[in-house]
Amino acid sequence: MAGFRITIAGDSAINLEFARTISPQTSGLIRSAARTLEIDPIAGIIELVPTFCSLMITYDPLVISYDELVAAVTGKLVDVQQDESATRRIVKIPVCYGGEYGPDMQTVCEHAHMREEDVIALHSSKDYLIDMLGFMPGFAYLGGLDERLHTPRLATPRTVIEAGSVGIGGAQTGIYPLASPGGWQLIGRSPIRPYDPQREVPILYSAGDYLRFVPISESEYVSIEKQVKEGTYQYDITVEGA
Amino acid sequence: MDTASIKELLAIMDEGDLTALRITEGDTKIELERERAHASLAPSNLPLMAERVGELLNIRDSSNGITAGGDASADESVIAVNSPMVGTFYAAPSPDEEPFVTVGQEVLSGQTLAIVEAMKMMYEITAPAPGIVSEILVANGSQVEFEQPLFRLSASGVANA
Amino acid sequence: MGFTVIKPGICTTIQDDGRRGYLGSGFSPSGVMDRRASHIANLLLSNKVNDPVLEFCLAGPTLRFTTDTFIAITGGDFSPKLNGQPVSMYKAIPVKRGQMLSFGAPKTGVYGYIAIAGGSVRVPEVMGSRSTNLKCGVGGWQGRALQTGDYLRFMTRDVEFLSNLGSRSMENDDAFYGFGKDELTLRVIMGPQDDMFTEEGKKTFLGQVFTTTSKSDRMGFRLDGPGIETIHGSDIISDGIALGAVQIPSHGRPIVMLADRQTTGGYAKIATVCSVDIPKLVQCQPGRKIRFSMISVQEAQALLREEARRVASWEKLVKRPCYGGVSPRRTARRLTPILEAQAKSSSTQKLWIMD
Repeated sequence: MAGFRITIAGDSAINLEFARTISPQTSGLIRSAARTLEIDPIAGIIELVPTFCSLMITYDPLVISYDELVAAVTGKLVDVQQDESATRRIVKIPVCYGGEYGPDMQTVCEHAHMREEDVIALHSSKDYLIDMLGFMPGFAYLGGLDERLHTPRLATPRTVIEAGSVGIGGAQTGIYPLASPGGWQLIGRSPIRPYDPQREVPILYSAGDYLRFVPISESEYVSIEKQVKEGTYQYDITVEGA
Repeated sequence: MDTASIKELLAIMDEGDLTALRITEGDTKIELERERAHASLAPSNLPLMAERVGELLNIRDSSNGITAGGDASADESVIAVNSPMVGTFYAAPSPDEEPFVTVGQEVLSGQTLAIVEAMKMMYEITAPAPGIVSEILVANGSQVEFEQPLFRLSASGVANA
Repeated sequence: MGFTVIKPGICTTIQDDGRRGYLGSGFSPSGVMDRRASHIANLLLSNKVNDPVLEFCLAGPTLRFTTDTFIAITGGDFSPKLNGQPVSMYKAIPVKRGQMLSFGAPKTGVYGYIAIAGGSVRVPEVMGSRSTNLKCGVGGWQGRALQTGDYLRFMTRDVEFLSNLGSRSMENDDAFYGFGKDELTLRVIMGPQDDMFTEEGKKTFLGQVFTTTSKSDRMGFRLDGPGIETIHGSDIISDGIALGAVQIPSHGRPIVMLADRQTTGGYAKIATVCSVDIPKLVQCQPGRKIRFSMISVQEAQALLREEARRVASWEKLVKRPCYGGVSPRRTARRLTPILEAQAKSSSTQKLWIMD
């Protein structure tokens, strides 16, 4: 049985704190809890925000009071377990690594004492679990970057990082969905849009999904970019192990 | 200077990727300034095309952002440019850049003269009509009040075609 | 049929109550900074309280209306004028085609609101809301602040009649906002990370005076004042940020997180401003003195319920048939001698006098 601590975030939100450290097990528990609350909704709950170690719930106090919410949530989640099913929803992100698309690739290679081909192979060889979305729409905090690729952030952050840039910041890796300032080491860029307000599903993935980076050539980049602009690109999203 | 020459100047600006071009030809002085890269919420943020330059040279347009006033003095050719809000006056786009304008400089209608900043929002102060900057009334970085006079321009006829 | 923007002000955007459902994806909810003012503006016109409004900051826009309608202006007082003549705030005002709304000297507050009758301006819904998300450039009017030359259409044009016009006005809200008072008290609920602060730190937060600064915007309001002491520093594992959360980063001074805040963050939050008091904070010009006072979550929710009851009673008030404006008795009294005179000249007519 999972334990969580409830903390109060004002008169319209609470946090369910599941742990004090980041781990895939905690992420799994939080995902499970969120899914339970989605499938069998409690009237008055507005948003569920899964983060590394807690689940924030925002609600309308005119519909449900704090005390009523605590009782309802505790009751519904008394049995929450880590998600035991082996299903994984994997979103593939095509990335053109290095060259002008990855201006910091050399820095990362030098820091890791690895050749570029090996850095690319290592970075693109696994499915990264999305622990949380935050900072900006579609910005995924990914867990599980290989230690060999951990690289410190830039001393002076860039004022603009292009949307679609893929980078490494400390022990984290991820993709920038929108142009933004940032301090990550950029190793490649993807022509797809993780966040598109015009798309039926504006944000491609959620906490609990997996991202897999797939190396592509520059000509493939250009071709996919065109398809994305025309709205014809087929996103590669698979559900494994169902 | 005619419209064809202005178009030629704009082409030169494009080819050379210039942000500003100042030309003096006899009695005529013309300044072309490209829209700045920083985000601005002010109405003057329009791309300069040949037609637009023509408009700016031809139209006395007081509808873009400031109280222009003949109320400044009995001299009707003096244009007062006042602050539209409370904030901090900045004479230059950033601390290490040149000021937007200097005393004696000729400005086009709609040309940026300064920025007034409040609560992290930048308001571009623009010239309501073509003229020459005759006085800059506040110091860079000083606090200004609503309607406080910032510049005096003396109306000039910028030579048309 | 709507209005043309003659001057845009500094940052005038279309906002409603915010975008719901995407907080978990990192999407700021946006929405009005001062929900009390925007709701009142809408209910004065019998709009839905959540209908989009124009929110302007520090300098109001100049708008020329191309159709008849009614508007209501609430929030901070920026000296609204119609065709150069001052108009009242907190009141439904008729606007005729061709008239120009403008604003003058800032008197009180920071954010002003303009609601338009007939369901407001016509802007598309993006991701379930008509609010503008400036960072992402979506929603509201083309995802940006208004600019000179913009032409916004209304949902309903040619609104020439609004029932019970004389009832559609209220006292201004100066007392609620504390305009003119030296200090403002904001009631807060402690947590979620109040346990990361020393007793000294909590005492400072609840006992000392803080000052609003100009380093404030739709994302959050930064306050100046004494540093607030933590036990082991203020870094936390990033978690969700609720509206009104008081974050204390490493420099020890509070930042209150607002409509355009980031959805998650890594600094300890000592308390959260109660929903009812958030409008008071956002209308504080820089330099305002603030004190925080602790209440329980139950008390804060009781305040919200009380405010909801008050709003419901205002809704009834503005629908009340009004006697103050067009008075049937007065009209009858003025008509009577005219009708009597007519009756005298034509004895065949029967005269009915209403009293």
